[in-house]
Amino acid sequence: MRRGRAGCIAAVVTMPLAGCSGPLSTLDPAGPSAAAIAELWWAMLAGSIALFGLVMTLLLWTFLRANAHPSSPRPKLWLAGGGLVLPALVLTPLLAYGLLTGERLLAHPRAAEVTRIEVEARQWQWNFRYPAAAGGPRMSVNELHLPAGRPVDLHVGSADVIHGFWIPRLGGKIDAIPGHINVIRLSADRPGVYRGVCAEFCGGGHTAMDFRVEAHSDDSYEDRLRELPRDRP
Amino acid sequence: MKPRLPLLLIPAGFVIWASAFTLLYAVLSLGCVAGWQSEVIAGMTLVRLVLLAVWLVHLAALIVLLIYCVQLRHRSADRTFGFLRRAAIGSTVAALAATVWTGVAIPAVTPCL
Repeated sequence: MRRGRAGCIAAVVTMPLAGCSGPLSTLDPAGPSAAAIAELWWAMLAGSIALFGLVMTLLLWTFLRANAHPSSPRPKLWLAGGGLVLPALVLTPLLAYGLLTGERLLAHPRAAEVTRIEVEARQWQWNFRYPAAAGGPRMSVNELHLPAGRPVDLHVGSADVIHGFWIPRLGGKIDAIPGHINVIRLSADRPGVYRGVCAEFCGGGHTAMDFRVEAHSDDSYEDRLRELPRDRP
Repeated sequence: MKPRLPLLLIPAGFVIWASAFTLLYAVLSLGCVAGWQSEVIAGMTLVRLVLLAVWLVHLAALIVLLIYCVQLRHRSADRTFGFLRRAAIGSTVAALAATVWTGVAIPAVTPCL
């Protein structure tokens, strides 16, 4: 009985760790964009722990001090210190760090050697188009092919409702909006197979709207594109 | 003077902050869709220029509100009035700080591509 209860507690405590790895883990980055976002996440976790620790220490100190000296401490000091100064000290550097990271992740047009891939989401599948493939545009469904080690701009749109394009191990997600094209830049550090999902509820087939991502070395990327069906130019 | 006025002044600062936040969000979204990032005026893109104007107008409104709250001092010796006035000054200062934070990145970051 006791052993069973200990097992339950251990399972509940360690369950959150199951999200630290696996094909859809944001904490196991496989590209520079995903790594920058994961670093920001760790910085925000450290900041929140620091802020929580500081506030709890102050709270504890107030209780202990109140027992020793029954006269109440100055409320203005606590309001200004705990409510404004401490959050500002922790959150201001986090804001600056977050803004700098966001700026680095943007798909600035001045970057050279960027591969363009067009993505169309529809209920409930992903269509990928490779306009710059040798010998004319190619296409694939629910399977995205990337060149490893090179930045890729994905021009994401939708044919029906709002979907969410997301490859957790390669970087941030972006909305697929009907009548509008959003651009997201990401890259894979090395050849491999990853998973992507729809991150926005889009109807009854939403949970099955995932796709396979394969990053190829430079040579095999062009070869793989040649095997895909042709699309209109 | 009845304490009604400073009671209304307590939330006034955050109403201005909410207006700034909403308008900055709207200008950013609509300006990017309208292509304002391609038009350059005085070395600055139109979208950044409008965002800065919206932000500065709200900062100016908050400073005027703060001065008004501080100057209420001499109009009444009532204790309730005094407390409400101090609360109005405090909330206006907090709203001013929040509005500075909301827009402080406008000159530096890329609004849209």
